[in-house]
Amino acid sequence: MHDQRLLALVAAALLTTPTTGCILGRTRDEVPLDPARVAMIVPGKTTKRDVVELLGAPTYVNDRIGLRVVGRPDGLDGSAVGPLVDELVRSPLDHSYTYEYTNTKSASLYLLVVSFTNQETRRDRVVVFFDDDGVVTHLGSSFNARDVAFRLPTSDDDLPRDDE
Amino acid sequence: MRAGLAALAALALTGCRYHVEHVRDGQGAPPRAIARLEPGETSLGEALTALGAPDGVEWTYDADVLVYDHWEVRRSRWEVENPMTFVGRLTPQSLVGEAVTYVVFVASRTGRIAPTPPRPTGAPTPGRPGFTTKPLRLDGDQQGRERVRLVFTRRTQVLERVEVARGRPPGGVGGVARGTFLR
Repeated sequence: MHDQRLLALVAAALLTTPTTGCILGRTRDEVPLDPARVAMIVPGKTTKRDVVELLGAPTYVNDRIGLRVVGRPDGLDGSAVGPLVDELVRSPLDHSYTYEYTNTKSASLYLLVVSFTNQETRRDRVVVFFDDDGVVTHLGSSFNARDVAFRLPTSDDDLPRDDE
Repeated sequence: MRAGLAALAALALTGCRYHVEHVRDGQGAPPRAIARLEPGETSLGEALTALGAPDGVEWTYDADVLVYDHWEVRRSRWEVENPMTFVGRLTPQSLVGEAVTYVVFVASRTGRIAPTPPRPTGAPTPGRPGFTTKPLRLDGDQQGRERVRLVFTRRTQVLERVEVARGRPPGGVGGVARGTFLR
């Protein structure tokens, strides 16, 4: 009886072995951003030229030119009720350069009749806002690409939940 | 025991497999950092320092909006392959075709025939028919998008309000079970 169970286990193991597999994948887009270089960008001083010299060509260029409002809104009675045109035209977020590095890791575990796949993507991202003279007005930076990990889909991740 | 093994073997040989998948894109804005923002006081620069680079920028009539986004999907499904597909492919013609392909492959690598010229860029690749045998698929998808919008008054560049929409699917083993069997 004991031998039969052992035989069954060995048979199951032999059957399982060729039908299992593990796949690890990784995709990187662009190059990691250097926090030390980003720290050299000073709002009010650094120019667009300096930013390009520090970080290179941006991944995206965002500009609101096509959406600028050029008219002055009037109320139903003809009186002006909206904000002045100057307020509508200029925004501190009108023009920006975005630098981005994307890191994706995927892990798949194929067992006999079940497979688990997990894929997660995180980014390093720096968004630099400029004024009309090409001087940096604001800067936002996030360095999360290195936090990406190979996980199982059933593992609870490290992202903050609603109740935290 | 034997019946169980036989059932597993049958399931495996027919290509029946249960897939559990989780795809996540982005980090999401940390709730604690959001909680520290104070409408009427927090400036645009302070918000950018607290939450980092936004995923997007939007403009309304008289306000500017920083958008922080996060997307996630948990998916589980059964896939049953049709074993008749494999049997149907084993025809004399297919065997002859495989033999010819093998001979040409070997000959091309032993210098007997000249290699074929490279195809021009963009030319369609003559491929084999795809592997499409999924007569049965039971899906259990749960996807959610988490979005935080910080609205700033354009004139003062001060935070006017925070809009939060959370729609993350439940995580862990319980989340997979809920998304699949308990729907």
